[in-house]
Amino acid sequence: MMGLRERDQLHRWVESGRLGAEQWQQLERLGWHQPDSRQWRNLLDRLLALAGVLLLAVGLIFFLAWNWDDLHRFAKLGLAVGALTTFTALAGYAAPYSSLQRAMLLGCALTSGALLALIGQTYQTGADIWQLFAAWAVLMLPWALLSRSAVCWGLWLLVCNLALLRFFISMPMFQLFWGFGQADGLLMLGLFNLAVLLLFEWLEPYLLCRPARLIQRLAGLLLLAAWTPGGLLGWWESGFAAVLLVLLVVCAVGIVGYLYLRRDLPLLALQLFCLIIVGASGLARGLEALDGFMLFNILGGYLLLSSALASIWLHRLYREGRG
Amino acid sequence: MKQAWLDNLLKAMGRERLIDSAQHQGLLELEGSPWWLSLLLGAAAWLSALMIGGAFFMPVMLLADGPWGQMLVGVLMLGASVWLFRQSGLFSAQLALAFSLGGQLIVVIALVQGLDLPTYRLSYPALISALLAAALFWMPATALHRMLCALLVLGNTAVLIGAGPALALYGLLLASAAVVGWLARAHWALAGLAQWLRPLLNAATLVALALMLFGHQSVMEMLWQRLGAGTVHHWLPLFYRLGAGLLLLGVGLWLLRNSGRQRLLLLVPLFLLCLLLNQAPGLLVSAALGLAAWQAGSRLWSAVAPVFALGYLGELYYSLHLSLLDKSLVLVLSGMGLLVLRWLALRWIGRLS
Repeated sequence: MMGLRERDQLHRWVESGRLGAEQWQQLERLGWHQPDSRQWRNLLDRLLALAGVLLLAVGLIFFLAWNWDDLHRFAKLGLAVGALTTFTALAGYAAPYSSLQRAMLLGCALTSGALLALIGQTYQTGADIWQLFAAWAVLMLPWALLSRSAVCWGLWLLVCNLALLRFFISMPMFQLFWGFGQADGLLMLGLFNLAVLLLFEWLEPYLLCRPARLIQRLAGLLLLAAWTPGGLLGWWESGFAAVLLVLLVVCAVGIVGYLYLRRDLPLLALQLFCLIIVGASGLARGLEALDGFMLFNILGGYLLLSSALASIWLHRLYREGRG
Repeated sequence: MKQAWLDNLLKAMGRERLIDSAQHQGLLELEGSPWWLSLLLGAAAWLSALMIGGAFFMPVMLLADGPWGQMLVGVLMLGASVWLFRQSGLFSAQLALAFSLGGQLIVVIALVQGLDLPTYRLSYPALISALLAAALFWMPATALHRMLCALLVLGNTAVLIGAGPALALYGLLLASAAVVGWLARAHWALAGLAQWLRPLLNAATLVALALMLFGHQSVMEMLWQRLGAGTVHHWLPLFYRLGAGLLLLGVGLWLLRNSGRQRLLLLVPLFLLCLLLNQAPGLLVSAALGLAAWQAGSRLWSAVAPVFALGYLGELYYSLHLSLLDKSLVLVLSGMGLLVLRWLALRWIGRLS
C-alpha cells in the first residue's frame, strides 16, 4: 500500500522523466498511483470527524457572538454547557484515542473557550482579553492531555501564545512597577515556547498518540517568531541585546542538538535562516557608514551567498537520508 | 532518523522489477527538495532580489540616464538569470532566481516610467509584470522559478480584473482548472510539459485558495482600499456559490465514478451539504481542492487546503452577507451533516472491503 508521501514521490519521478511510460503503466496496474479503500477510510474517518466537530463548535461560537437579546442568559448558558456535555459524553462513548474521540475532545476544548466568553459577555466580568485566553488555556489543558492529539495541543499552544502576547501588550502596570519592557516580553514569550519545545522533546510519546514532531516544530517556529524581531533590533538598540544574545546561544545549541542528537531538518533550517536574517541586520549595523548602493549590494550578496550555502548543506543532509 | 519511507519505496519498486539497482541509486541521489526548503529558499531569493534590485535601481536612476537605461540594467539582469539557470548547482539556481525577480522588478518600473504611464493605477504595472512573467515562465529554469512566474501571471491577472463578479468568476474558473488538473495528474504526468504543468497547477491552486477568501468583504476591503484600486462592492454572487457546490459535487462524482448505484448513498448527503454550505462557498472550494490534491498524491496541497479553510472561517465571521445567527445555523447543521456523512462513508467502505 502506497501512502500519500510515496504517491507524491512516484508522480514527481514520472513528471521529471526519471520513470518512463512503461514503468508508469506498471505502477498503474499495481494501483500504486492512487489511494486504496483503506487509505480512503482513514482519510474520511479523520477528516470528517475533525471537520464536523470543528464546524459544530465554530457554529456555537458564532451563535454566542450573535448575543441574541430574546434568548435568556440561562438558555445561552445551558446551550453552551449542553454542547460541552454532549461532546464529553460522545468522547466517553467513542473508542479510546480513536479519531472520533480526539475530535470530540477538540470540540470540548473549543467549547470551553466559548463558555468562558459567554460568561464574560453575560456578567460583564471586565476581564481583559489575555485573562480570557489564559483561563481558556488552563481549561483546555485536561482535554489536550486526554486526547493526546496534535491538533488539540497545537490549539493550546497558540492560545497560550495569544494570552502571553496580549498580557505583555496590555500590562502598563507591569511595566511601571517592574520596569518590564518590550524586550522582556519577547524574551518571556520565547522562553515559554522553548519550555514547551523541550517538554515535547522529552515527553512526546506520553503526550501524543502519534508522535510526528509537529508540536516541536510549531513551538520552534513560535520561539523564533518571538525572538527574531528582538534579535534584529538587538544590533541597533541596547535594550534588545539580551534577546539577541539568548537567540544566538539557543540557535547554536539547537543547531548542534538537532544535527547530532535528534536530527530534525525543518527545525535546523528554521534556525539557520533565522541566523542569516539576524546576521544581515548585524552586517547592516557594522557597515552603516557605507553608502546605500554598496550597503544594499553587500547585504543582497550576503543573503544570496548564505542562503545558498545553507540550502546546499541542508540538501546534502536531506539526501544523506537522515532528515 | 533514516528516510525509511524512501528506502522502502525503492525496495518495493525493485521487488516488482520496476527499477534495477542502478536506477535505485540514481533515484535516491536525484531526489528533489522538500517543500519547506523550497519555501525558505524562495523567501530568501525574494529578499535578495529586493536588496539587489533596490541597490541597483537607486544609483541607476541617477547614472543610467532615464528609464531606458534602467531597463537595460533590468534586461541585463534577466539575461544573467537565463545564463545562470543553465549552469548546474544550487548556488547558481538561487542566484538566477534572485536575478530574475530583481530584473523583472526593474523592467516593470522602468517601463511604467519610460512609457509615462499613470503610476496611481495598478493595472499598467500588473499588465507588464504578467506579460513578462508569462514569457519567463517558459525558459529552462527550476520548478520554484516557474511557480513564482505563474503566481505573478495569475496574481496580476486578478489585479487587472479588479474587485467584482468577474473576479469571483476568475476564482471559480481557476479552482475548477486546478481541480481538473489534479484529478488528471496521472494522465499528464508522462507528458513532456509536465515540468511546466505542475508549477502552473501549484500556482493556480494557491491563487484559487487565496481568491476564495476574497468572496467576502473584510480582506478585500482592507486590501483594495489600501491599494486605492477602486470601490468595493458586495459580491458573493449566486453563480459563485452554486459553482463552488457544483465543483465539490463534481469531485465527489468523479471519485465515486466506479462505485455503481451505491454511490447515491454518499452523493445525496454530499449534495445536501453543498446546498447547505452555499453561503460559505470557500469551504466547498477548499474541500474540492483538498480532496482532488489528495487523490492526486499532492502532500503540500492536501495540508494547505484545510489551513485555508480555517482562515476562511475567520473571514466568514466578519462577512456581512449573513447575520451571525444564520451563519451559526449553517455551520452547526453542516457539522452535523459531516458527522452523518462520516458514519455513512465508513459503513459503506466497510461493506465494500
